[in-house]
Amino acid sequence: MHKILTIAIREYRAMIVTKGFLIGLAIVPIMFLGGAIIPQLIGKSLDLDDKKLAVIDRSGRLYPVLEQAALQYNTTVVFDSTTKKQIGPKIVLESIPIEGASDELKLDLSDRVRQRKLHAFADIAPAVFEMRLTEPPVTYHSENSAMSDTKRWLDSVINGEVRRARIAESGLDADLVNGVTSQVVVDGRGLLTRNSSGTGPVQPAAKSNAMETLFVPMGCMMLMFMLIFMALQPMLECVLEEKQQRVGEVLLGSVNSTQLMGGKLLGNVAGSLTVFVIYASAGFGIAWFNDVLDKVPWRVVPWFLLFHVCAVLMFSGITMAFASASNNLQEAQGYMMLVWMPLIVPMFVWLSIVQNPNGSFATWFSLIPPVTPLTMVLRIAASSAVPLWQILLGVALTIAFTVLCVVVAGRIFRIGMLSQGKAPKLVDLLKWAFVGV
Amino acid sequence: MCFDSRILAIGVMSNVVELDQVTKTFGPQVAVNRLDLSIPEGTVYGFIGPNGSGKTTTIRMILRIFFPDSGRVSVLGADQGSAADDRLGYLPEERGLYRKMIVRDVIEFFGKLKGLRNCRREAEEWLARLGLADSAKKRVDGLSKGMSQKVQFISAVIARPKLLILDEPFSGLDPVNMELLKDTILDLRKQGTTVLFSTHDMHVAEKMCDRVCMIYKGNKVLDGTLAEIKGQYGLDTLRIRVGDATCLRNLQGVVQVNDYGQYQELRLESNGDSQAVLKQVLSHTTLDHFERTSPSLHDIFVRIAGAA
Repeated sequence: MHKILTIAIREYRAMIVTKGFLIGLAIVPIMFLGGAIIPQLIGKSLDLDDKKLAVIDRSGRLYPVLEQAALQYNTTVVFDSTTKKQIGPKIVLESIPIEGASDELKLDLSDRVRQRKLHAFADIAPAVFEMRLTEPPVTYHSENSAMSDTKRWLDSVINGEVRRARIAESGLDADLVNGVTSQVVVDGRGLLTRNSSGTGPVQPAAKSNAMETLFVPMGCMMLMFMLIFMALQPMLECVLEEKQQRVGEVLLGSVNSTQLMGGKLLGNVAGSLTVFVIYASAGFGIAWFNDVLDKVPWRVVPWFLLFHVCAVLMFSGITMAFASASNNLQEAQGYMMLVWMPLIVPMFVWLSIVQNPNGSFATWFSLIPPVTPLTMVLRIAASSAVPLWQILLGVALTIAFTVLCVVVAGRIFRIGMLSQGKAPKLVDLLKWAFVGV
Repeated sequence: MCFDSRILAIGVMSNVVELDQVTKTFGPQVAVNRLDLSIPEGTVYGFIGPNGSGKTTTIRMILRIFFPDSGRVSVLGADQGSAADDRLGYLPEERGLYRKMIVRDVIEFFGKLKGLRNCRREAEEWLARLGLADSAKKRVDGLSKGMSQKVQFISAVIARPKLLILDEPFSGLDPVNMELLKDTILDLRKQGTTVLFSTHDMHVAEKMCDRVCMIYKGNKVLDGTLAEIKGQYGLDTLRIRVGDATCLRNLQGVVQVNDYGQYQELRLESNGDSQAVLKQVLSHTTLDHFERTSPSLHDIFVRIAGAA
């Protein structure tokens, strides 16, 4: 045990006490989360150019309304209410005379859009106020009309005015119509609970929040992915160094391969848990600062740690085997695709699992050992009603598969560390694992 | 100095390593074939042979990194074990040090793996002894090849091994450091360490080894003291110094001529007449020096390995 601990301590220090680790600690979250946050920040703050919208109003009634709405929009919505700083682009309207509104003119307007002299143009039909229309009475033309904020604004203003006009022209009471047609809100809430002793009053169900429901589970999964990613890379580099620098032979002259592998895995798990503590502390600190500690999924934490330790052992063991069989980083990266696949697959199906965490797909998928750690944590974070037996079965299968991986990887590692020359094929690795040399 | 209490348990032992009909194969290739080997306690035992002859495989079996397909490997009285005994020290041919670690830390790390607990003092003493005290806090990748070699050597001996296995210990060292390391090895032997010494440098082996074993294509082809080995070949060599070495070609009764510049060695036919050879030499050129001698270990090595 003393030898295993000696190796584990060295491994831990090699992983944690480096500049690369500190840089990685800051960069990796940005790499994973930046993709989601940065576009929003940039979109909100940097796109402040006026959106010039040309309008062909064949109804003759809507342009003044649009002008009025644009004026209000430009003085209120595009400015932050407290800082008075502009946070979005203004809408600038241009009226196009009806007389010349032929297809040729619309082509000219399209060219102006292509030349960036216009943002978009809209063509409003004379029949826009009529009811039971068979064709859309308004067309909006731009380079990206599907995702346009300006289109949404136009849609909202025209519909509000047309609705108001139709009610008025029908001689109906506007308040009555609005009341009759008002939507019934279905309020999404969580499940009711009682306090931990089970004797107190029933606690009211918390209001459901789409962001929480989706992003807390995804955050748990991404955190585990990051932790595994940050554990595998140092392991890969360390074993490659030991092989290339022939340290492995000296080590195997002092300890057996099981002790060596055990020590390395222990150090790797300890390093990974250190990263967890750092990120978790930062996360709790932020939650405390923003007074949202009640949103922290505490019940997930023990399962998260259990599945995380298993995942690090499983994937680090396989990484060690692959690294020991490789002569350089390029060769190792080829093998590593097999490690990354079960880690990446849950990323493709996370939304289906979160939307229906107790459905048959989520249940069966979370019981396939290589993907169990990420998907089971995703399920547990998404639903408090995951049956305990499924979680325990997932734990048992994961532990069994981890043991199998570590044993098989150990056999490959023992042979791989001393092998030289051409990199073995996958078939050779299986032979090393199950037949030996 | 650190002291391993298990040394006491060994007691009096004639051979620290015994290999009995040991065979190891890798697929169709026989790396070591029915090898018998006995390394007496307290000796410097030379283990020689050309590249790919099976030396490293044999060493790895002694270290319990590999296990034989058949035969018995006994090390320090134990026939079995899953890992190298802590009483063994190993210096591999290709240096194995963590490049980013501090010199003192890496020595302590290997010391701890050999069962030492607080070996800071030992590490510092060894560093001072081998002239590396100023490099104790340097990173390994900042050392020269010779310095790295000495650090690796300290890592192998810090635990005061009972059996020290050295694979090409002098490669990369200048003559001064070579002498320093040689003295240290001999000093360790005086203190009871048995040294298994693998090398391609036959002159070093000849000067340092009490016994020599040569392995070739997995088979043992020589084993014994230097005198015993040379005795097998007899005085079949004439070492001479002549005015014109070109005339030594095509001498009758001579199997091979080696011209070293300053002197020449003539290998005679078995039962060859040295006087007749000398007469032929004198008929062609002047003779400054001659002596009849047994072949050097280098010659014996070349005769065996070069004959294939």
